[in-house]
Amino acid sequence: MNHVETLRSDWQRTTTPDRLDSSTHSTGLLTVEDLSVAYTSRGVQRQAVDQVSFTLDRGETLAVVGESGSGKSTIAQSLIGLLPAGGNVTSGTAHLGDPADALDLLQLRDQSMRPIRGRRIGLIPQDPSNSLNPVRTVGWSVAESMRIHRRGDKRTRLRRTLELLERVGIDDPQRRARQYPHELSGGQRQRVLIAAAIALEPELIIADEPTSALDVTVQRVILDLIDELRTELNASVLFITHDLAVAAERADSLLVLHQGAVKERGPAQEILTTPQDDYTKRLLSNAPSLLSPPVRRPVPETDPEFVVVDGLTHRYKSGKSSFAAVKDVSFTLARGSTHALVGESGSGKTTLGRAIAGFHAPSAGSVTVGGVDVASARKRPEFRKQVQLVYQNPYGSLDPRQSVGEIVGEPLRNFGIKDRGERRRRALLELERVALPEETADRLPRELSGGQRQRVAIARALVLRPDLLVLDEAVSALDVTIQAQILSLLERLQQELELTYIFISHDLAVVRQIADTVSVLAAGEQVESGPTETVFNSPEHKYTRALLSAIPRPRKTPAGP
Amino acid sequence: MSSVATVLTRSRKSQTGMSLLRPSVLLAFGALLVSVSWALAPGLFTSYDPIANVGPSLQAPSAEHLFGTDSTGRDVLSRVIHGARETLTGALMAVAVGFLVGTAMGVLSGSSHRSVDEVLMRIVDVLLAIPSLLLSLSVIILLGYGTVNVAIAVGITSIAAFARLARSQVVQVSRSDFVEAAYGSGGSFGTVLWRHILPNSLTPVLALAALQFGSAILQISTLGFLGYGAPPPTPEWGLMIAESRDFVATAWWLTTLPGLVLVITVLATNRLSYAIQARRNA
Repeated sequence: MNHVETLRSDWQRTTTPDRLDSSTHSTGLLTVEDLSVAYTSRGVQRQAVDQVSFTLDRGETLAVVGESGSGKSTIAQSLIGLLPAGGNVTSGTAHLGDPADALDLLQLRDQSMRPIRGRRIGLIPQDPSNSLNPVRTVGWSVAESMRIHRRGDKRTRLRRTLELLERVGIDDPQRRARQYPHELSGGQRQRVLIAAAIALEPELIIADEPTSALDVTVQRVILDLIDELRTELNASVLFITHDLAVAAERADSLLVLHQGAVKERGPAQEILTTPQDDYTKRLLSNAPSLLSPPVRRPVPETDPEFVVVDGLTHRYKSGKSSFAAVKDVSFTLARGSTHALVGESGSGKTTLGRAIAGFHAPSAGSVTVGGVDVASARKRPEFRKQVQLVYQNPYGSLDPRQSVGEIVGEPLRNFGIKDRGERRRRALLELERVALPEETADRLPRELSGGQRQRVAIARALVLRPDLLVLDEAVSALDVTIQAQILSLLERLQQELELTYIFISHDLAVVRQIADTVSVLAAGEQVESGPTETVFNSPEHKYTRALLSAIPRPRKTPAGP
Repeated sequence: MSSVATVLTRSRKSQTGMSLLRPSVLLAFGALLVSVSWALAPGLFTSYDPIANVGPSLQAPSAEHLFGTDSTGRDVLSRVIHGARETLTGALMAVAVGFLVGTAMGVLSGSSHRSVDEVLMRIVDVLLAIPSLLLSLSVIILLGYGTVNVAIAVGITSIAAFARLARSQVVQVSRSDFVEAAYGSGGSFGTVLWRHILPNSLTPVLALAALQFGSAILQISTLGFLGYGAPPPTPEWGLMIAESRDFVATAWWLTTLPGLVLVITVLATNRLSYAIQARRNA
């Protein structure tokens, strides 16, 4: 991590005590003052960004941190003049370049903005699977900005494209340049997009959530790459993220945004160690941390073998070939405890969770829940009173045409409770249990926020009083403050109802917070299993170690080693 | 119900109502309302008998006879108004046949075993392979002439479209998490189908029904024009246009005015159909 060391000294060199005073800074590349953006829809104006000011120095990384709806992407979009329809900059300036000949980006019309985009400002978009033209080769996409800005002739452009692909770590650039996006993995696609963004060596790179769609080990490599390129090109990076841990690891300074307004800004180190604003404090305390493991209450010892998974294998067949998504996984789980299934996408963790919940029969091996064999019981309705599944996406798991009261009451209806009043009474009871107000019962899912919807999904799962809940990435789609609320709700419910959880997640920090025991899955194999603290503190398998070391952590204090 | 909830439900209704209150939609709705009331109570709109001679033949439109008179001296407007019943009930029956049979086939094939799906979809392929006019003519020749038979024949030609759309909707909705969650909370196949899959798949099928209503009017009139529908002197729009085609050069109103009414009605149903779709997508 040599480049990080160099960068840090860089940063210290440029750091002055009056760092927060944006107006008097001389090395600033981008100076934004009083930026306000409003969206108008159906005649109603909504303030998305409210008087935001910041300075980005040459060679510096500034992270804009905020939850969904905080306006962080809107800031980036207004800088490159690509606000969606209905969005308008209502005030402010954004000067790019040396003070002598700085350009106000917000004053530029589309025509004069075009020479800036790609040449002086490069954008790394959020979702690598959607951001490349599917009918064009990868090489074509990388060369696009050179073509638009008429750089070189066809031959030099091709040479430069191959150079760029090699630089961002694409193996065999000759061959890859002729391939189409669907032939590349998510990480490779993000590398291609980075190559396209730096093709004309821009002085400012805007990275809008560049890794939030990627696995944690891939995320690390991509973030390293962005860091390296920044030093090489002496570019500045405006890094937009919801992930405080990523921001803390990669940024020199932070801008914490909440509902469009700046809550706090300054050197990353300072904000992380001594946050001044209440919202920042809340954000920091809600972010699940690997540094301070939470204290778990002891597991009740009523039934140490409540869930037994024994040699479970699941194959997907297509025609004559078959593919083992889960290979020979075994673990036991005590009643009232939480077992986490951890792995990256494609590791088989969801397939395993669904086999435990009885949604498909395993190809080999067995699962017993409370002494009942799942494979033989899974078709009986009674089994559903014992095991329930909570889905990742709270937007897709609730029927959009039913009211919340009907959704929560429906399982009761399936089990012969005909009386509407009785169902409603019990639905209200469950809603109260998950801390939703009574009037929620008459609302439709689309009138609720993501966190509220996930509470409704949990209430629906609980209304039958199951013993085991399979939580499939149940908090992954939520903002960190909401995530913390749902996690503490899950812990409270576990105590109240003596629930047992199978917690499926890719997020190790969350897992450490909630799980008693953990299984790490890689390509369908259970590479490691045991008590959470043991696995986290002394991982034995190299994959587990790779996963753990890929997790972003704040940079150590400059005084440290 | 608490006051907060009532306010919420009210605002929800006014919001979804928005797209249905556009001027063009209101206009279309008005046009349909007129033709439907003609069909329900023709006596309120005209005092002339549609099949009796009420004046000299081939009179141009005048204050007395707004649409003029035809070759045998019958009032054209009165015939158009009375013809609405013939045409609209026919179209309604045709859509009902297509909608009920087609949706049932589609839902069945989208939700049952693959072998059932294969058989039903191949039947649909066969229906789609035959041009719709040829198909409806063949059905009429099997069943015999007459308004009801024409409606059934036209309905049969639209079964394939309904079946395909319903199937694709059912397949799509069946894959969603909330359907699996419903099975997961102990729901049986029938209850999940009735409570979740059907309500969430039917909106586009209903929009197609509105669209088909317009094209059924056209098809019934086409068959009437060819002489397979109601026998003369029944006032049916297609038949009226057919009967007066010899006078196109001398008496323009005989073909133009009933034709205009026909076109306006069809356009109005199409506009309503799009409005239903747009509301669903909003």
